[in-house]
Amino acid sequence: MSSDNLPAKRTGAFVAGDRGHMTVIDRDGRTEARLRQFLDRLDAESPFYRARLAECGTGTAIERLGRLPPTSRADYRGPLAAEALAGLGRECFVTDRSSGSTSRPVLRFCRGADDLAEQAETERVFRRAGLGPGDHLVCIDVGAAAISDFYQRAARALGVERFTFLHLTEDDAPAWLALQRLEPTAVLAIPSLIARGGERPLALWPEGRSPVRICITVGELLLPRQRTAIAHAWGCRVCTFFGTTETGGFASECGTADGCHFHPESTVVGLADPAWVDPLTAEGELLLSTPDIRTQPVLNYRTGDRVRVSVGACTCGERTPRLWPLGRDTETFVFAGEKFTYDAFLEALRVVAPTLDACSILVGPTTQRPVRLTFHLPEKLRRHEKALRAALTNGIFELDALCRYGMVEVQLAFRGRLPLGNRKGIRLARARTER
Amino acid sequence: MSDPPLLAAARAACDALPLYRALWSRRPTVEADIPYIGAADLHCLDGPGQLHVAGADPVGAVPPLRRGRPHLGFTRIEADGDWLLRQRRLIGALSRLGSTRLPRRMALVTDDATGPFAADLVELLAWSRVSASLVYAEAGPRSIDRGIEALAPDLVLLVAGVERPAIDVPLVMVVHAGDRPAAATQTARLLVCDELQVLASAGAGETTYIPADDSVRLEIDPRTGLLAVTSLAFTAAPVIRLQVGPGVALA
Ligand SMILES: [Zn+2]
Repeated sequence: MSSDNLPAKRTGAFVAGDRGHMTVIDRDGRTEARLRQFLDRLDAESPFYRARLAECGTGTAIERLGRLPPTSRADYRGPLAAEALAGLGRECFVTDRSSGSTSRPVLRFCRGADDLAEQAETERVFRRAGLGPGDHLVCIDVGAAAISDFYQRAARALGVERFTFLHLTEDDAPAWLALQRLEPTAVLAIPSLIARGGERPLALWPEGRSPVRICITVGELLLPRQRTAIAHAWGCRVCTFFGTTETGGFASECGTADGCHFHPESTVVGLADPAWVDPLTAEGELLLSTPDIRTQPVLNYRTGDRVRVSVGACTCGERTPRLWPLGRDTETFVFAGEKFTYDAFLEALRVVAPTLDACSILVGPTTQRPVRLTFHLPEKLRRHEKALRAALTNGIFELDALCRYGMVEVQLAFRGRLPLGNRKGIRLARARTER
Repeated sequence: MSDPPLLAAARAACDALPLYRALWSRRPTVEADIPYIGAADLHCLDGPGQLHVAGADPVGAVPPLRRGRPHLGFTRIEADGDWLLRQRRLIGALSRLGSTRLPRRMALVTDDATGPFAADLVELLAWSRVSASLVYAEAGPRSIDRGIEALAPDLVLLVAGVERPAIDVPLVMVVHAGDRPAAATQTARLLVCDELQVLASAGAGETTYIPADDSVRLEIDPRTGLLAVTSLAFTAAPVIRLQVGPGVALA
């Protein structure tokens, strides 16, 4: 594929790289121009990428990107975090922390320029969602208030008048009542936190009386039935805002709600192991390169998210490519708004029990608060109970936080044989659907 | 006999950080050897790295009260142990103000400048299962009142410097150590600095501050009359007799 002779109905093109992954570029050469500057900057400022780029030979920036090996999460939390930390100097910065759905968290450093670049992207997303003067935006979360404060700045830049951060705790009834009284015109939330409230958040207003015009969902995949339930109950538009901790949010749905638009010169999107869906659409693992990030930038960063990307035009008229999140490459389930991978649990437990090859996790009953997560482990590990428990909560800080918040209770159960076998499928399905 | 806490902290900081060795010229043997220092004494630092104990895993930045305006001129990074101490001080100080009972639901009144600081408090409070929502002041006093009314909190914490809300609800205000000491003593106060966050509290009507717990030492520098703070316990980022603002009455 190449970017030549693009018919008007296209919004960009896929360029195949030498390593088999594909990169999405825009129609008028801005992706190439931004990437060229970006590679020059990394060559000057990042020893890690200087060494990698030296192996990529010459050519256009897109061609060189196509020869570059993917950046792993281990690279991000190792050499790239160290480079960022060393380069911070006296400039002010904030940090963002995420487990990246593994048992070893990643720390992201953001200086003022990074924050503003991300704000520009977020403003674009909020504008696309229709936020503006007269709105009262309420962000709902169990923690992570710092990101809500960031959203507040982006919203205010569009003239949004009122902003509230609503803190959801294990006893969520008062918070939903507060949401009703706050009379928001816009809500930003993680879908599973709304789902966790059961009927309560959906029954806040009689039909046709909800003040909410728009609900922006972040942080995880929005299931079709969740979208329908929210849209119906609140009589509002529901729009997905997609991103990662390492790169910030960069894609969101328009009114058509058919894919998240993104700007390929601000966040360069690639696909590893791509498979064509049609001549304008492909699926694969999302790779990200971040020309707008100065402090901890990445090239071909492996997100672990499976996405579909299309350069076919959207009926809304916006001429940017679109992305559909499809889930994660690794087995994941979402709990109280936090993503967990099965591998992360195993990795954490293996700190104490290196030969552990499987464990089963029982979720629920979910009607009870806190929700219990029971880890079934071999009997011979019983004498390590204390250490195993500590390994889980020390290794996976989001789990630790949810336990502290009273959202989750971790139990360890020991028995001769693990209840895996033929029930494994049932258990996985249950963990997936009870969100 | 073990060293008094201040001397022990200073010696530990001296052993862990070349910065203090350079600043003091020798390892203190008595408390009188430990000089009081100001932000200007740290002007040579290139950034947070030199205030960070090697090998201590950083968990994040400590937000100053006002975004982008840290007292030392750069952002500080802390380790898990420092975070836990900050959390303990906040909870300790709030519990004391509430006569040993911690509120269940709080509303924090904040604004664009103090937002990151307030958001950080939310996470510290959540750790002790206190629900803490944020009301932003930019939309005006009427909107603040409506926000507080809707959230129905047990306690309101004024993080931004705003007028008292018209709602009748227990109130605590955040006072930055670098600011002119608050004249209004009819409101309970939390005294904070950018380096260690919550330092002390004073109840409504009280004229003196009581330190949040024994992880910090508050002193008045006898030569300047300024308030100086020491992290008696630390993992990554010790501050020793650092002047943070005008003197206050200490219990
Ligand atoms: Zn569209």
